[in-house]
Amino acid sequence: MKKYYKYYLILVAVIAPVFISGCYTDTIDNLSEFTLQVPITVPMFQRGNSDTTFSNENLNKYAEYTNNKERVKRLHLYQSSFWLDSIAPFNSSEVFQKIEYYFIIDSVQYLIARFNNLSVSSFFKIPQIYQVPDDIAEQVSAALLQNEVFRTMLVTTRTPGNNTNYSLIQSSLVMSLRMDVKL
Amino acid sequence: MKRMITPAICILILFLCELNLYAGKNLEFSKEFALFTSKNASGYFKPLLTSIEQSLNSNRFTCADYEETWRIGLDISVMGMLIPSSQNNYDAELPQLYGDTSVAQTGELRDGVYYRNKKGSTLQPTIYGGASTPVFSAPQKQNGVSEFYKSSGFAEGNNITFMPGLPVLQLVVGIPTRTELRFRFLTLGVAGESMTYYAILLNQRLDHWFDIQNILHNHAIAVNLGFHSLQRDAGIDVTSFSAGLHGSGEILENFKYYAALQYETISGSITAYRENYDASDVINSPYEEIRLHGDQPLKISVESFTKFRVLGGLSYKLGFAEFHGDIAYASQPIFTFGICFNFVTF
Repeated sequence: MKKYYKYYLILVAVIAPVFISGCYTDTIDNLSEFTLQVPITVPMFQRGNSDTTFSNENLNKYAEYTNNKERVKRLHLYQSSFWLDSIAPFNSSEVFQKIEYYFIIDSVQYLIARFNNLSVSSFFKIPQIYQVPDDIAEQVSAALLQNEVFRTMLVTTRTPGNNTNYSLIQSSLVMSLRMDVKL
Repeated sequence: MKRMITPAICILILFLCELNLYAGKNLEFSKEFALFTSKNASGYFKPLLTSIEQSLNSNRFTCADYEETWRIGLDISVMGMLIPSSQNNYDAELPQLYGDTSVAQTGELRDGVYYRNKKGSTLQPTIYGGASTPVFSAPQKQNGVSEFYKSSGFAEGNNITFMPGLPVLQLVVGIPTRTELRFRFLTLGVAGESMTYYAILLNQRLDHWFDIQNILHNHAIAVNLGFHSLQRDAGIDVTSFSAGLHGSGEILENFKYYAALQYETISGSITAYRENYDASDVINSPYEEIRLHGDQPLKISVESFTKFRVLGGLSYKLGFAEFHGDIAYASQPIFTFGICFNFVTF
């Protein structure tokens, strides 16, 4: 057995560097991509007593995106957040039965945030955060890579009996986008 | 054997001296890194810098039984490190006025739990970690300082659990005083200017100075010291130091084990400017360092999680080649494997 030791050693000497160099290549590949999260804030204005607000958007409006767009390999919507900046008339105890944000691209709507039974006081200049489900995030991400132009839609559902005539609802929607950048 | 001196020197020249000369230039980092403050960059890259430090301070020695001969050799080693989960996150600096609810209300959703108005720092992934957690911020006023305190995004990690180290090629010189010197030298072109790395490593056998062979039998003890320097005229100024004790013993003929306890440290900085800096790119950053001083360089403090390592390894001599491999417990457990070709012994 002893006479085979040297052959075993030579075998190990040959295999080990091959194994490690394989790992090395994989890791260098991993490090050649860099993912950063960029929050993109979409202001939403609703004037007049409507339950729906639209905003037309283009990713190229946002420096965070344009600074990196040439090397972006993948966009992934991770979380979304929203808050009220202004509402008239202001009644902090008013409760909305449902608040929903939709992301619209190529005429397809994706629900990217939903909150139930929120009082005005709980989201007046206080961020509410929604974890976008993976399947929606994947679809939005795939669509965004094809088309940088999109719309956002805010739909508010009042509690039954709330007949307040809102002359202004101003809110902010923040989409946290994960961008995979090839270095 | 002496005929091999010339080829050995040629190999050294070919492998060690890739010399590039460039005019002086500042280091720059591209726009995707614009979201980093100096403190956050230091925290984000610290595990990678630890891997580099551990690489530098690996393959410093094998067996401690240095003989009273001249010896010239070349050692080639590779290594890999296991990344512990404790190095997957760091405390990321938050914008200065986050937590001041008169300026901004903030929130983050982490593993289904909602945290509000954190101040100071928040947990984010290092370069080896996973997904980061954005901090959403609602400015409380439409003007004044409040308007700058917008939401913050952070860099994500690459989910790395194993990291290969930097391969090491070094000249090994044995001296009849039972001393071994190891030298590493490399120049590389980095962003238009040469970066120079050199290391001087000393191993000195101790046991022959004392009358303790009756106790040690076929064992040997040595002390080791190491100094590394990594310099680029503008931007990189890093030094590393190590010191320790190592010993070895014979298991079979030409087959030995060795073990060591080593202290190691790294210090210095990497300084880089933002590429094609345009104030409008950073005007929305909630970080004062980026928003107000974006034209100033980002300074990454070079530090390592590792201070000590305990090491055990095996060595086998086959002709003029010595195969060696060891495993070390450090902040990133590391295993190494290498071959030392002792071309000349006299």
